[in-house]
Amino acid sequence: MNEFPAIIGGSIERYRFREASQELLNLARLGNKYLADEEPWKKIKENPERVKTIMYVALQIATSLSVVCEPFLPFTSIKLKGILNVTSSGVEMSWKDVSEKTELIVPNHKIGKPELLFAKIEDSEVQAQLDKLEVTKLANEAENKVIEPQKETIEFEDFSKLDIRVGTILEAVKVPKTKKLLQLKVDVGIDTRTIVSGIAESFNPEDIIGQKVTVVVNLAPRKLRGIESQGMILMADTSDGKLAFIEPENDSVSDGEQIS
Amino acid sequence: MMSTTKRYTITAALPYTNGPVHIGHLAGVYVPADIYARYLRNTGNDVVYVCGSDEHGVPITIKAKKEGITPQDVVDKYHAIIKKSFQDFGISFDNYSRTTAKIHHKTASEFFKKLYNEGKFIEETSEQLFDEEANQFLADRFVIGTCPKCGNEESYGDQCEKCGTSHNATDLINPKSAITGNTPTTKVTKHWYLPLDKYEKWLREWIVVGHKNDWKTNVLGQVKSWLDDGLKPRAVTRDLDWGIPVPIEGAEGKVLYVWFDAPIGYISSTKEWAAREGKDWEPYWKDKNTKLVHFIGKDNIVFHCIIFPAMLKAEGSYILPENVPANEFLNLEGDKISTSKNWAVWLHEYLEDFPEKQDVLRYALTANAPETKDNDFTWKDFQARNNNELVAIFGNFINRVVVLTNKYFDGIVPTPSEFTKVDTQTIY
Repeated sequence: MNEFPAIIGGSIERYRFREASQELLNLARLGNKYLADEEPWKKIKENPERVKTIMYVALQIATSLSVVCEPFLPFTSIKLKGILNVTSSGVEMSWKDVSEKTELIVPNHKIGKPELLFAKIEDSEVQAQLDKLEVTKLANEAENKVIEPQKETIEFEDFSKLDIRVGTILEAVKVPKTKKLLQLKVDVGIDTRTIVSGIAESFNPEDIIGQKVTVVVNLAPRKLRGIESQGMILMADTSDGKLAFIEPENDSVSDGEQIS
Repeated sequence: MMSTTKRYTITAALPYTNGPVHIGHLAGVYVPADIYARYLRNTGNDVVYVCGSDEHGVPITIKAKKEGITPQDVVDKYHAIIKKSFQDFGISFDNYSRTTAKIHHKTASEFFKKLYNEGKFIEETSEQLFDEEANQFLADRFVIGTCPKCGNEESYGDQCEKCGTSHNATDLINPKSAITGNTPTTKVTKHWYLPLDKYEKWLREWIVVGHKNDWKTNVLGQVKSWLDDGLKPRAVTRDLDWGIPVPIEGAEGKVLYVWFDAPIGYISSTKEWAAREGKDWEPYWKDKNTKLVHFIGKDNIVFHCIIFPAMLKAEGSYILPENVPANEFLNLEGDKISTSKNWAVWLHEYLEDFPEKQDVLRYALTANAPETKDNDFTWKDFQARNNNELVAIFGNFINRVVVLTNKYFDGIVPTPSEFTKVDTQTIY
């Protein structure tokens, strides 16, 4: 016990604070191990005299801890000195005292009642901090998202060539051996047609049955993985890198209604 | 150890007042400095532990412009937050000042004047980067370009944050104005330079040779690499309207470079403390028996091991640091801590989220301090340090001692009988 103040002080003087903090903990370990080995709770019945010595020794270590923990844990030091009642006399033990004396707290001195020095930190408290960081991460990603510059101007005649209609997804299956593609059956009012769409990373097939969508119906058919796609579903990018459907806000818009 | 009483002047890096303090600052500077100061007080030494807010320089004016407020508003806001959070966290500064304080303006002005009068500066009129649109000279953080040493394309005018090199704004390749994004033109202006090259030999002998055994290897390594690259004269004035006016005639519109005035802040803070305590500040900075120790992060090594010592040497009456135990960086959950990206654990928020748990953070940051290499702070590790070490070992031991003493002996310290061998080994 008496060696610790010099060991800890030596580490601090060499600016090795990590090492010093672990030596501080080793002093507490020494005390903990001493009590665990001596088991005063088992000896109190048959050998109370021995327990007196054990508790005397343990109290010396506790008092030493209250002094040498001060640089690291100043609030704990004050609390612990209060519990041990070693400040009431106004004489605080110095670092020198705890490295030289073996009797730091004398017989017949009255200590105080137990008080919790450290409380357990629950998983939920840690999770709350991690959630806070996650929110920051998402906000940064949203901020860093590059908004594409506007494309070149087109005439109304160009726009009106597009035939865009409201539709409903009736069936959806993954295109085998692809990551991104879903094969959809979509009711677009004028007919029900097959559309291959690159949305599989954002949606499960079973979740989008009945989904209202916006479809370009007069796009020239094109084969994707051997399946002819007869149109294109319009999607928007979201800040977290996923896709979102563009759907009419009003349910009474029926399939086949033109968007213009 | 613990020989006779010694006098110590301990400084902790002045926090830059454009944002609050985060765990990276604490682990790198304030917690180790506080442990050091408290330990030295405990061992009976004469200690002054000083700090203060660094309130000048370009980033504060950029922030003020962005938010549509004055630089003074910016520093008033963050000085209050920083000062209170340090206090609540138990950082035991003897004085926490600020570089906008009158005493600091006076101290820094006098320091400059003395060097000026004694011919320690080179006066030079040269072409400097200028932003025509903003009608402003571009130095330090007003200019971004490619670092001539490591090729980082986002180096600042005075320092590259990637490789740590310190340089002049005109050294940058492809400079761009941080205000308008324009490519700057050049314009002639007069400035005062500290001829660091003249101190090169002396610095090498003092640090690389003289302190090769007692300074940290990361610090020695950085110093050696700068000296090997060769030092150049360094401008100590700027064309700016925020800062300490250059105290000589014909220097209107010019202020002291922030890294010239900031370290003098340690001296001003000591003066402020001494005046309040009715003490003499001078022995703490001029008596050769005083040990001066600067606690800083690795990004500040050049300023504390090269520029400030050269200033002190030029002035002539001050002592030099006995050691500069700079730490590496702390990352957070695997990513670099960033004030602008809000990727940090802010001290004032921690104190709100974890009331009465200052010591837990102090301990977690110390046990995992970035002393020899960059380290990572994770909340899982924080929890484990608390639950497995502070609660399960320290707390458990104390609780058992106090509970059992109360239970068996009514809270009275018992008189021991014979000591066993184990008892003796434990207590000695």
